[in-house]
Amino acid sequence: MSDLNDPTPASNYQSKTRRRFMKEMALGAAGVSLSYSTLGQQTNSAPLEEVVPKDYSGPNVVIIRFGGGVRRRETIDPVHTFCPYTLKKLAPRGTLFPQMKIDDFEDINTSHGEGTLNILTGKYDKYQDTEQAFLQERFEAKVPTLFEYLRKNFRIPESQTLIINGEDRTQEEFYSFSNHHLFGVNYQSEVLSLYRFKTFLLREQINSGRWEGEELATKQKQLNELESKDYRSKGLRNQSPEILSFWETWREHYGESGLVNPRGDRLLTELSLWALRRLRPRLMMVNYNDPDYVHWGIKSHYTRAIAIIDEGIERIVNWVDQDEEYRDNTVFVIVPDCGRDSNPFLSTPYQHHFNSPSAHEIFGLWVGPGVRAGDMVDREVDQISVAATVGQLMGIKTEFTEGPVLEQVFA
Amino acid sequence: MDHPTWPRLQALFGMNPVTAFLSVGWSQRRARQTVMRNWVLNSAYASELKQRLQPDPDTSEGKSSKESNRDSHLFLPHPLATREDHELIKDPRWIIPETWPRPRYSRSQKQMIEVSWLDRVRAPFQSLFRNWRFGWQGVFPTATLLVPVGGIMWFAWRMGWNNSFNKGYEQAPIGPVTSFIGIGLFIWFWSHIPMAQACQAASGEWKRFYKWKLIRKLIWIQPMRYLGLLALYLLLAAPVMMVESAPGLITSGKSKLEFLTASEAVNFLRNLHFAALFFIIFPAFAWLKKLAAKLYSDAVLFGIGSGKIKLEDLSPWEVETIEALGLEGLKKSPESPWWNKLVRFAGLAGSHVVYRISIALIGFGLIGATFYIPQFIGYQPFPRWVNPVLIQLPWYHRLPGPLKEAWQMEKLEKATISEPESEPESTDDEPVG
Repeated sequence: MSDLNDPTPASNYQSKTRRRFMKEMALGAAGVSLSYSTLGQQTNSAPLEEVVPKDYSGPNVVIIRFGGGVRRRETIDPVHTFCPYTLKKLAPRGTLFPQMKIDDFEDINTSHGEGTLNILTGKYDKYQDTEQAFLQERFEAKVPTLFEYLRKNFRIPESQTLIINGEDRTQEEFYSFSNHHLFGVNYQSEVLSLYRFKTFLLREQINSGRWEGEELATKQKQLNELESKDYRSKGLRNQSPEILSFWETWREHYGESGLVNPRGDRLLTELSLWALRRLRPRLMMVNYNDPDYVHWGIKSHYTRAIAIIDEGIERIVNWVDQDEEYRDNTVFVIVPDCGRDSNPFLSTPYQHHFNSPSAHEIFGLWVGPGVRAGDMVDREVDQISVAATVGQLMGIKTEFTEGPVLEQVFA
Repeated sequence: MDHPTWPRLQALFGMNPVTAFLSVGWSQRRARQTVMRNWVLNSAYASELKQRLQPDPDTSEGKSSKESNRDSHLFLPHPLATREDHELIKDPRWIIPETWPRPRYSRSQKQMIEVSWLDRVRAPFQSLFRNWRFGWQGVFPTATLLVPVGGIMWFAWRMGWNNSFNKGYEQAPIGPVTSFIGIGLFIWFWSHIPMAQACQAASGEWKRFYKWKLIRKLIWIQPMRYLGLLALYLLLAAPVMMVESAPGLITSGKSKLEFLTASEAVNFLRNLHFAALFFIIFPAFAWLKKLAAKLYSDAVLFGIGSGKIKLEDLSPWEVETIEALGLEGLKKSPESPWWNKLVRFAGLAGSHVVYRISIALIGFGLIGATFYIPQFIGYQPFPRWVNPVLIQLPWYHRLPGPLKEAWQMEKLEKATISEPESEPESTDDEPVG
């Protein structure tokens, strides 16, 4: 059913969001920190106050980033879809927003890092690499992420807020916290990825005294190189004991070669299932990304990757459905980081996502308890509404998000 | 009428892979003309040729007689005067002949032969037939080298990225190693091809493309000038690269081009490709061939005069021409290009290492501009990998598969909509009453 009579003034919030964005861009170049209240914008909640963390009793949330960049045509178009499970089995259980989009401000980039932070922070921003390097995406969010909101408001350990990240975009490991002065690194999420396992493994091997002399020096250098990729804490911050134990179990099962475990986006599915079983996360984000391989022009990489993500979603949902604690208590939010081009002049029309109109077009799917089932909201909504809506679902105040809550999600 | 430098025709021929061979043939014949003219200009007949190459004043009464004088090769010594070198004075034509059939000297029969009836029948399209023949001769030998090499690079790209997608760590080197093999081979072949093509064009024999010992000797007679030619390939590859990459970038941002219908997109691409051929690709292609021919002709003269190459190394056509013009004893040094002074100043003159490093650097740049950058911005299938347009076949029009399909669908829909609806059969009303 389409919700055609929704009175929410979408155009109003879009105008406000645009005006604020333009102001911030004008001031932000000099690194001026903007106080939220000075802009006089409507908030989603009461003024900031001292928060005493409580025990969490809300639903678990799994955010599936259907990345890196997919078109509506190959996902939610029934004729051309490559993810039949998500569209035909899962979507009827929840609410589909087929007209979700990334707003087309002039300075907004339709890419993976930006899209991920749009989803997590609920705010558009013009992100730049921390060292202004070309093609690097070492971003820092200026406003809190969902993980920080959750952990500040509730007594949830770091190991129960997770980002599951791929090996091709290591910089996204470090989107787990913002540099906002009221939140920050103390409320960050944990991250599970091949990069983290390799770092753990190398540290353990060096500490166990496996190598000596020149070989040890070489291995130490490799470890330093791995740790240097952490542009936020420079490798100084270790993972929590629960995570270290997790890696130990992973190592016992899959060994040390890195050749036995699943690979690519299938690895993310495997890590997600392991995390659900062992770490019992309350909020987890899975950063699928392999569709982005189509940048090199080979069409099957895109379509095959979408199918692999679909299989992964099916596995995760099936596992959740059979777990007593997670069943009926877990909300899935499936949203792409960005769209892709529809370039009629190329053999591979969706090869890139160079900020074309089609690259701004995505979708959103919500499934779970408290979510309206079998609904389709066929009007334009914004990607930055995801964070506020998740916040409302989990009962957390997301003071710095800008997108309105998607009220049509709620049953 | 077929004007010798009718640019629209050149660009039009490049829109189709079959007619693009005509462009190659024309360029080959023009290269041969360059060689011939250069030799005549270095002989005792230079002033006569210069006079005939002056622009013709446009007078109606004297035009026909002046034209016949200009056409005439009679100022040249025997057997060049009556040889079939129609391209010496006039630029090669595309369809009609430069001069109409006349009795000519046959090298094989060593006598003058009359115009046959077949020649008369073929005469109106003589240039077309010659362009076609020279075109195939021009493309085939180059393709025997560049098609396999392009295939290797295509394989490396596809399989390398395929392996990367599937996270095949165990065979990770396959893509890069195969790429470097292809790149190395390409640079090696390409650094010889311009001279080889000139050698083939001058002789009119396709097998002479493979006389690499001779070609290397000719290159080393004037390495710095030849290096300049290779650098020009890189320079001219840059605008070609921009044109090739444009379709991948023009739908970005606020562009409305993403919303064109299939027919509109097809027209847009056709115009873009035609403009690219008209302004950039074919002029660059023809100019590079002409320059290579000039270098070849100078190198041959100096080589013969200095004893570095022998007359027997050349083709019968070339031997006949050089002997008739009395150029065997000419000791003419090749012109020294301006950048040679810098090279000498740096103490690097004659250095094979410097030459090879320069070739490698230019070659890498050329490969990047010709293949990898455009392919990343807008991937094109196999045919593009095996045909670098500035070197082999200046064919530059191909519709992407999805667009072609969409266009066909659109045409089908339009045809279905425009079919008149059949009128229902009229029924006779029964009379009342």
